[in-house]
Amino acid sequence: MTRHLHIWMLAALLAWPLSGRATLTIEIEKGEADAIPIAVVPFGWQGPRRAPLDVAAVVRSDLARSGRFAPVPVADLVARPTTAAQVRYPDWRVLKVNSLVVGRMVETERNRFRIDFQLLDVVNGQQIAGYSIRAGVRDLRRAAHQISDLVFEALTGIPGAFDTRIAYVTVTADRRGRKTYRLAISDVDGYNEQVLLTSPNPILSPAWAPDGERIAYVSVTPKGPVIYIQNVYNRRARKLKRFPGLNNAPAFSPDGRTLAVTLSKDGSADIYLYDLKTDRVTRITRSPAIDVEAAWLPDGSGLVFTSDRGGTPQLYRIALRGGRPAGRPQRLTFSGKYNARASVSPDGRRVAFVHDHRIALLDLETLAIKVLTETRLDESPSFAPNGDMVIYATRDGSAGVLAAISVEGRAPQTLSVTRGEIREPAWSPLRRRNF
Amino acid sequence: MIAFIRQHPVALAVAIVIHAVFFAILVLSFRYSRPTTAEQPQVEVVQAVAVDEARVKRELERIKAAERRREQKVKAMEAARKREERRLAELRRKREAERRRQAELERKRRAEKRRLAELRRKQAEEKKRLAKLEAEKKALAEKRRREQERLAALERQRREAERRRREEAARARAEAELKKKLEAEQQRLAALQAQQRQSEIDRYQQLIYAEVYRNWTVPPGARQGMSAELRVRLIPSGDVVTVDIARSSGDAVFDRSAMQAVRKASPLPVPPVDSGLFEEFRQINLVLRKKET
Repeated sequence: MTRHLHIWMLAALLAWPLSGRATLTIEIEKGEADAIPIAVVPFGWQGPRRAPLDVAAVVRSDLARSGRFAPVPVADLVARPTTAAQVRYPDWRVLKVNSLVVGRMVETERNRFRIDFQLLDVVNGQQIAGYSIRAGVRDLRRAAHQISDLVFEALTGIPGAFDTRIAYVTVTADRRGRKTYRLAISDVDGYNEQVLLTSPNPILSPAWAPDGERIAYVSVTPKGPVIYIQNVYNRRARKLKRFPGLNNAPAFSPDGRTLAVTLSKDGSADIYLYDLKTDRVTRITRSPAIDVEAAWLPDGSGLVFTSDRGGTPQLYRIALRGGRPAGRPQRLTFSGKYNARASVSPDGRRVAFVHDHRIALLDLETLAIKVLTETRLDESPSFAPNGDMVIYATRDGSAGVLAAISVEGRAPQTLSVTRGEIREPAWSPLRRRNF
Repeated sequence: MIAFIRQHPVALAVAIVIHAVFFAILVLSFRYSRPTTAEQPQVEVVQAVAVDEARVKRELERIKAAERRREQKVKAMEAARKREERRLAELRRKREAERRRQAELERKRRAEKRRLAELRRKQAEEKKRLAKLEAEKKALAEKRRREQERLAALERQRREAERRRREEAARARAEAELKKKLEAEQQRLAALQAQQRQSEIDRYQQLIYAEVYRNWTVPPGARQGMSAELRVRLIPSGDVVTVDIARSSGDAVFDRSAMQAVRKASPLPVPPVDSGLFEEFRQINLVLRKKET
C-alpha cells in the first residue's frame, strides 16, 4: 500500500513539471509599510532669471516629512534628467529607488509658470503619472505641495495632505506683559502664514468647517466666551448666539450645518448641537459631570467627547440619530487618569487624544490604545485630513510649538514656527485642486 | 618358554629325570672301563745283575714272597674277576632292563613327544585359529570402524549438507531481507529525494519570499488583507522576464507595488539548472498580501 503510494508520489512528482497546472505559488504577507525610496530630481528651469522656487526641494521635504518616503539626497542622484525621455532606468535601479520624479518649470510670462512633471516607476520602467500645473509666483509653493500630494497618493494609495493648511493660535506678550492673541493659518510646512484675527482676548479651539473655508473659534471676551465663525478668504466673521456660561469647543458636523458645542447654560457643562441655520441648540448629554470637547464621527452618526462622570476625564461616545442622542454614552477609555481632547480620524476608525499628556491613538473597534509620542506636555491633537498624521501642540523648552507625527509613530517633527507661543493646531480638510 | 614350562611341569620333571639317568649311566660306565684295562697280563722283565748271596737269597726270598703275593693276588684278582663278571652280568641285565626301560621311556617319550607335537600342533592350530579369529575380529572391527567412519562421514556429510542447506536458507533469507531492505531503502531514497527535492524547492521558495518581501514596499494606503497575484516568468539566471497581474487587488497602487517588489528583487534566487529544479521556477505565481498590523 505504502509502496504504491510511494510510486504514485514519485509518478506525481515526475509528472508535476509536465502537468503545467501546479505552478509554484509563493505567498508573501507583509504588514509594515517601509519608507518608499524615491528620487526627486531638481526640476529644469527655463526663464530669464533664477528659478523663484526649488520645487523639487519642497517635494522632497514634503515626502520626507510624511514618514512614508525616503527621498535620496540630491548629492546622491546619478543623473539630472528633467523629462521621462532622458531617464535611463538602469541607472536609477542601481540607486535602489522605486520611483523617480522628474520635471521642469517654465516661466511662460512674467511671474506665470508652468510646471511639467512625471512620476516614473523605475522598477517597471514606466510612467505612473504626468501633470502640467500652471501657477503664479505666489502659488508656486502650493503647486509644489500639490505635486507632493499627487506623488504621495500615486505611491501610497492615500490622498496627500501636503496642500492643506493648519489653523492655530499664537500668543505674544509685549514688554508690559500684555498678551496678544492671533488666530492664524499656514501651509502645513509652516510657510505662508496668514493671521486671520488679532485680539487682546484669548482665542481658543479653532475648528475647520468641512468646506475648508471657515473656521469656528472661541473668543473669551470679558463678558464670557463667544463662538465665532470666520471665513478664511474674506475674513468675514459671524458671531454665534451666546448662552450663559460656557460657549466652548465648537466642532463642525460633517455636513457643515451644525456645530457641536460645550455649553453650561443648564448647570453643568454638557454637549449641545447648535443649528447654524436656526441658532437653536439641542442638548445631547445630561449628566451632572463635565462633558466637553465633542468631536464628530465622520459619518455624523455620533460624537466622541470628554467627561469626568467616571471621576477622571475619560473619552465617551454617544450615538446620534436625527440630531438627537440615541442611547447612553459609552465609555471608550479605561487606562490612564487623563484622556481628553478627541480628534476622530477621517475614516472614523481611530481617535487621536491626549493620554496622560501624551498623544495616543484609540482604535474605536478594539478600544486599544497606542501611544504615539514620547514627550510629556502634548496637547490638542488634530488628525491630518488624510488620516496619516497627527498635529499637536507641545513644548520645546519653555516655548509652545507645533509638532506632527505619523500615525505609525514615525517621523516626529517640530514644524517651523513663527514667533511666540503656538497653541491649538487644527488641520484643515483637503483642498480642492486649483489646476 | 617359561610360560610353556609352567604350562607343562610334568614334561619338565620327566625331562630332568631322564637327563639325570643318562648322566648317571655315563659316570658308571666310565668307572667300569678301568678294570678292563687291568686285565692285561703284565710282563716282568728280569734284570740279571750280580748281587751277593745273602742278598740274592733275600732277594730270592723276596721274589718268592713276591711270587706268592702275586699268586695270591692273581687269585684275588680271579675272584675279583668273577665278581666282576657277575657284577657285569648283573649290570648287563640291569642295563638290559635299563635299556628296555629306556626304550619304554623312549617310546613313552616319543609318544609324549608326539602327544606334545600333537598338542603343539593343536596349540598352533588353536593359535592359528585364534589368530584367524583375531584377524577376523580385527577385520570385523576394522570393517565396523570403517563402517562407522563411513557412517560418521555420511553423518558429517549430512550435517554439512544440513548446515549448507541452513546456511543457504539463511543466506537466502538474508538476501531476501537485504533485497527488501534495499527496496525499502530505494523507496526511502526516492521519498527522500522527493523530499529533498521538495525541501530544496521550499528553500528556494523561502529565498524568493525573503527577497520579494525585502523589496516590497507595501503601500500604506493598502487595506488589510488586500492581495494581488502575479504571474512571474523567470530565466535560469533568476532574472524576471515578465510579470503579469494574474489577479488584481483592485488597487492600482497596490498592484504596482507588488510588481515593483518582484522586479526589484530580480534576479530572484532560483535553483541551478543542473539541479533539475529550475523548471519548477520557470513560471511562478506570487501572491502579495497586506498583513494585519
